[in-house]
Amino acid sequence: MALDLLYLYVLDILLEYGVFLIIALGCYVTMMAGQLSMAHGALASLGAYATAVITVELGLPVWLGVVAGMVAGALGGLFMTYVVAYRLVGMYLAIATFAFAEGLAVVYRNIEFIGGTLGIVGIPIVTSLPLVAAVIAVVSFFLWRFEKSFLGRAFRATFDDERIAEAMGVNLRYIKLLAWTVGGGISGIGGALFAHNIGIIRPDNFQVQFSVLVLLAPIIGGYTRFYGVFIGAFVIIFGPHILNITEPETKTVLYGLLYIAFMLWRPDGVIDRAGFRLPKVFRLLLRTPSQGRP
Amino acid sequence: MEAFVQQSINGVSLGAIYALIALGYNLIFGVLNVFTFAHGTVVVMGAYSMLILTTKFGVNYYVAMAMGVIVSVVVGLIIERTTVRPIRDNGWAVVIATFGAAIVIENLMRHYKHVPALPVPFPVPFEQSYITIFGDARIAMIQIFMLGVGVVLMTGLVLFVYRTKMGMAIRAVAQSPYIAETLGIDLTKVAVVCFIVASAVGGMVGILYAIYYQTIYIHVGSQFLGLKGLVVIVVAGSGNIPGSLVVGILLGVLEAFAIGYIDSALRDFVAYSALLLILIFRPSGLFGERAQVAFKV
Repeated sequence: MALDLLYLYVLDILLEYGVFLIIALGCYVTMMAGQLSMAHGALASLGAYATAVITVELGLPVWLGVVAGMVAGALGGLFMTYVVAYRLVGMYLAIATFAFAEGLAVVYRNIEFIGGTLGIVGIPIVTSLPLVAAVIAVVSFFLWRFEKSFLGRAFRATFDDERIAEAMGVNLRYIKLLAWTVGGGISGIGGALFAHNIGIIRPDNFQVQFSVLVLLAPIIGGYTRFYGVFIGAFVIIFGPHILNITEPETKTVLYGLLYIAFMLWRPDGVIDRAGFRLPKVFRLLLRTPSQGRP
Repeated sequence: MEAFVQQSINGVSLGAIYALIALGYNLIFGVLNVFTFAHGTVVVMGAYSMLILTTKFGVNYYVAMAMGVIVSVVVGLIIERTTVRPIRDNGWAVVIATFGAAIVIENLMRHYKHVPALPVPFPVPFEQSYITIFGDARIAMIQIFMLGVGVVLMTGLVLFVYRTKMGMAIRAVAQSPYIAETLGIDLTKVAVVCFIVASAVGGMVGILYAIYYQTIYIHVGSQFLGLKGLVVIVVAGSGNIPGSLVVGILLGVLEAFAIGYIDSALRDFVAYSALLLILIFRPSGLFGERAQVAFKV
């Protein structure tokens, strides 16, 4: 009995992790081009609401809902490209995306058709571990090839310096459009799976806090390799569950300290430009005499 | 018409708070180019310290006010030293580190035994009284008190930035940190001064906010005041002090009208959609230079 409960608990967390990871991978695509986005939680919410409307209000099949979620996320990304990404840079862009996320939450609350503050209930719960794993595998394969393609290098050049990238012949408009629509689309899929995972969505699920958490995953994990996001999402989803062993009072404080510690330890993310490397402690332990300094 | 006048008065009072937050925040965000999530928390710290000092320890009202500002400054300095200075070169890391700092401070506050968990009434400096000016429209004495303190703070800040040597250094860093450093300006020193001034102004604004609404709760800073300060900065254009003033008051009036004439639930929506709309037509902000604009528009 206890083992069953443990199994369900772990399964629950794993599903939460997988769905969050997909949303964060969408954010990662956008951030690869140097676009600091606090809107990917909101883009995911577009996907979630799209699939909820398709499956609950219209009664259409689930796969159509997930596709609609992807399209809705991509359209949201397209909107962000034309409204803010072509106009602002850096932190100002971040604040504008943030305003979009805040505004969208208010819009959800005031539309009767999608349930207002109560949200939509009765979404078919179909998300399973194999499904999520398959989606992650497909997205990861895409990102793995994408990073090595010339477009991936153009993204990275844009990240480093937009002016120099432009001078080298990178089409900035095209790169930004691609970064936002592809990122938004992946986040949209994640949002749709999120809706099919918990079966009920409310505007409160997608407050700005959620968007910041989505942004945290690539920054903690590293925004130069896609597998960094796996680590970042792990810290964010499993962190609170692991910290549950402490007192409730200390837990939340430790949670904040965790972010600070990661940022002070590796400001560029756990997987930074040097690729994967072990923490210094392990490197010292593993070092053979011939490798080190004499 | 009376309602219109009344909403305008309320809007200007609220807008003064926004403008003051933006003025302080501008020193961090506009000058140092550091996006900190923790500024709202610093703002609330001042009000909470004052609340605890007056109600639990019986300290004199105005002494407690000064001590609240000092607490804000200390917290701001701790944030600067621990989460901003070590990773100043990496703007994205600072965003997350200060986000963590805000979580830590808010939760430490929640578990401190004197801090009430729910929104609590805040002591006011004098009895509530009103001046009737036009029909039923009236100005509360507290609003006059608040605007008076606000004008003093703004004047002091403007004099500091435009009339002192340190202010000149701050403006130089705002233009170009690299060139300023080449000319012998100590960036760390400027950063510390900016954080001190911003936190002091922020702490005072938090107290004014609490006095005006006669209530305070822990998350008001991080979820409300800090965000509105950012909106004002971006709409005004970064680093523009008179612009922040005008935009802050405009935003307050706009929100007051949204509350009075449409629906109070739509107030944030009005603010954020105004931000997006203005950015569509003027990406550099209403009064800004082109610093925040994408290279290829």
